Amino acid sequence: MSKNRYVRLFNSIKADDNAVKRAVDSIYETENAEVFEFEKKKSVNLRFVPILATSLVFVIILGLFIFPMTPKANNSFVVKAGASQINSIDDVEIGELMGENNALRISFDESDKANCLTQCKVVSFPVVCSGNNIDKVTYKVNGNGYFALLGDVKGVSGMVYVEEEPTSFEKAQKYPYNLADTGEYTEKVKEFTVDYEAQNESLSKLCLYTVDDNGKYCDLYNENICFEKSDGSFVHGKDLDYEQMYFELFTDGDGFDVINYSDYYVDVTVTFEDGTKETKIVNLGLEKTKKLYENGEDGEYTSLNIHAKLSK
Amino acid sequence: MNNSFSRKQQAEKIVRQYADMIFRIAFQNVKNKADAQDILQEVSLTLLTKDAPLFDNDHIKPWLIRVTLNKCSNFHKLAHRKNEEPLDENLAYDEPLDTELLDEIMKLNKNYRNCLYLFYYEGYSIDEIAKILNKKPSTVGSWLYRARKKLKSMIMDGGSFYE
Repeated sequence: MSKNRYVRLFNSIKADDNAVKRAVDSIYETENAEVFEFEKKKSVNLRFVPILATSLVFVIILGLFIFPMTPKANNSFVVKAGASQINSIDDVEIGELMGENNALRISFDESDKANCLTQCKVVSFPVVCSGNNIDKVTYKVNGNGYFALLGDVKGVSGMVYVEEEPTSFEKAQKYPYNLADTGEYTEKVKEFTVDYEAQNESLSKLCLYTVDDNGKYCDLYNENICFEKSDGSFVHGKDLDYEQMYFELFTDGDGFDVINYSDYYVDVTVTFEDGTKETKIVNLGLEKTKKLYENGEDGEYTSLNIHAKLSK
Repeated sequence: MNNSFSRKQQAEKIVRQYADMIFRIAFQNVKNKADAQDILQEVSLTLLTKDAPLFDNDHIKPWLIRVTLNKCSNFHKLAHRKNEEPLDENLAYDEPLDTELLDEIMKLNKNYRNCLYLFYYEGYSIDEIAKILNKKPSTVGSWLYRARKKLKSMIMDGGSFYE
């Protein structure tokens, strides 16, 4: 990846000769080069330690009389998305599939024939857990999907940033998710664990309706790319654009308006501080709706919204 | 060998070698030429401390980077320091400055700026940057990703960060 513009900019930024001279002069003006102490540690006046200790014990004893030890709160947790609590009664909208949230990568061999294809729909997964005595939370996605992690997540085998595009299908399978065409690929995971305090709503994205195919590809990559899928069928390039994929993958023609919970669900397992665990299942579904543009444009567009609901 | 005068000579050599790097890092963080020069001077003096790896060629540069960033961090805590001068009037430069790119870089979060600089200009890997900044590689990686994403969206068509 060329970075000439950035490099040229910083080549232009230099210290003045006078500034360098002043810095060098200051070195020689320092009298003692061997000892140049930073802040001295503040010392504690030891005379007051016994008085402080006695006072502290007294305060603790007094406190125990005034505020008797209360029992620890019971282990518990709820699953939330933003301000909403995901429950077993209502559908909670957690995200919207947008047209630009596709991840598509095609890898080519030496003869410019595509040899693997990965594609998926990406949606934010702003789900966190809240409760008492929680140590960590594990999310596991079931169905044709995986998580792409964008944060410092403890417990995951490791995020790998690959600068060079994976050239083999094996590598492409491991690093299929191309984030915003930056040349970086995050490792897909079916499951990740995060410390309770480290949770945040932007930690992960959910990649749904993934297509990983190592079938034979028969044509050069262009806008009319054609490839043979592993089941022997052929798909043409125009079928890979956003609208077609939507309806090819999860609609029955125009009849899809209902919420479908059967394909995707996430096991949310909380490990409490005492080592016990509890799991709640978050079912995911899609709803096709019409929405008005929010950017000042007139008219409405078809939106696919991700909903979440707890299993009973 | 490591007498007082030889340490000073070695310190001088290091300052002359890395002055531009220290200045660039400081300037990105304090956004002011005069203050960046002050930090250059402060960092130079730290070379005289016992902790400075003056004669360790492998470690002196990362050490200088850490010290510079620490100085910049402490600098921000002093309330009376303010950046009042326009950026492009702050710098001495040999060729026309890419003020558009510089302005956009300066809008980034400081962690993003520092990671970009260490990665693209100084050529450090993500793991090396993580060790310098005492962060996890995954943290550095995500900072880099977000920085590039923000910068790429800021740069108008016709002026690419990557070209």
